[in-house]
Amino acid sequence: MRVIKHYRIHTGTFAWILHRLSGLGLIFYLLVHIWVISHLSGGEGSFDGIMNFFANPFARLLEVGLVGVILYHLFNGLRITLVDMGVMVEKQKTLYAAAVVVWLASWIAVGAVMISRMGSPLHG
Amino acid sequence: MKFRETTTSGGALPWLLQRISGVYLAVILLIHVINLHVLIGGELTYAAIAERVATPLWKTINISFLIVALFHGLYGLWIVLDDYIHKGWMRILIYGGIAAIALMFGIYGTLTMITFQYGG
Amino acid sequence: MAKFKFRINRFDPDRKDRGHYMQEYELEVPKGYTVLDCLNDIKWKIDGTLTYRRSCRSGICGSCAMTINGVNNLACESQVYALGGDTINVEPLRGYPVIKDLVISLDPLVKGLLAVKPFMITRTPPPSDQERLQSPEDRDKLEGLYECILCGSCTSSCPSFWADKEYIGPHAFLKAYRFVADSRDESPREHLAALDDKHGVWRCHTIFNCVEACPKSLNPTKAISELKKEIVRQKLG
Repeated sequence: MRVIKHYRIHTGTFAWILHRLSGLGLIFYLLVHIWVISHLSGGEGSFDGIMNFFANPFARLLEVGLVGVILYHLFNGLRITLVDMGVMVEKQKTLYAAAVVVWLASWIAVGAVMISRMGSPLHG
Repeated sequence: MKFRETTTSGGALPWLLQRISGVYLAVILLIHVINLHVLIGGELTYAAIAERVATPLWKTINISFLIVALFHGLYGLWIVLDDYIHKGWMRILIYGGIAAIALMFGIYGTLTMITFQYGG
Repeated sequence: MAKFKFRINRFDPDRKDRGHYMQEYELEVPKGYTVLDCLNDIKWKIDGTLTYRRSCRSGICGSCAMTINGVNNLACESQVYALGGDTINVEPLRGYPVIKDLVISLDPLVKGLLAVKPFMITRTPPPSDQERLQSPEDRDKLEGLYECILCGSCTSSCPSFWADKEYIGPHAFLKAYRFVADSRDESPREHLAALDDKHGVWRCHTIFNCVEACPKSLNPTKAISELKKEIVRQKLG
């Protein structure tokens, strides 16, 4: 019979795994972002060229996802900082629930604005 | 069983910096997003952002954002890899790789910002 | 009485070729039985080769810590009927070398503990006519710190320990803070010395598995956050 190798995923484990995954994704984005912005050096044509490359619905949707990843890492990071300061260590699950609520609320708000702008002629 | 030797290899300072930089990034990100997507708004074309990016204030903010984000991200990456990579030569290789990326992108991004000029 | 299925991780050091495997036992379990009671029933009535540590059977000695349905706990404090489900998986504490079946080597636990010098360090001689005294307020600061029974549940549940076998571990951090917070201890720095290290408190990623696992409902993560603050305070002068 196969040996079980599973430890129950508690709230904190879940938060931690998501924090690591979101962080890894954001490093990749940061490096791409630095490369994209470096096109400023090439002048108007170069910069607008690369920006146009990302001005499609697929990239815009990815951007909405990116905002979600950033906001998760941000609010969970603040939670970790608070816990490290000794704030709400005994109420860590409540604190995480609060972080998740703020994360989802802010993501929905920002995401809604982004999606509503997507249809406007300004965004190709 | 012997007492473990007490070391002073530390870790306190980077740990603290990781938290401070995280909070700094949260604030600056808010400014960044409000500036680009609320104050400027619309499509982020060269014409729309160039004037602002060329001012010394925004150059300073952007460069600090760049350096702090690179530190926070790449030190964070090191913390993750540090947990799972134990072979000495692999650690040196990865540590070196991360340092190289930090240096490369740090210098590249800073140069982009410093040299940028907008004739108007 | 209801029937329960126990799936128990077996390992025989004399039959290493068989490696680790799960063995199933079916058992009629009276209400009120703990997992330890069931292990005793299995050992005494079904299979005498089953090996595990136990001693006090009342949550004081810390011998029977094991992974029950994927969570570390004392077998003697796990009510079978409260676990939910009729199959119960029992494994040795993970992260430690397994000696036999559910018996693990506690060497890593002790090694981590010794790193923090788990005893009161004093410089001044004690009063000649009495013990070292402590005010009731100072004594209260040790609540939630001194109760640890060193069962190993917390450290064995910690992903940082799974990743780094040299990690000092939450059990030792809790013990360290128990002395750092003690008004009678005259050298907190000596307890902290080993903690400002890559195998020390900085590898704690506030995952809270230790808090979830502790059968005494202690909070190692809280102690760790106090230790982190204390070390940073000392570093900054």
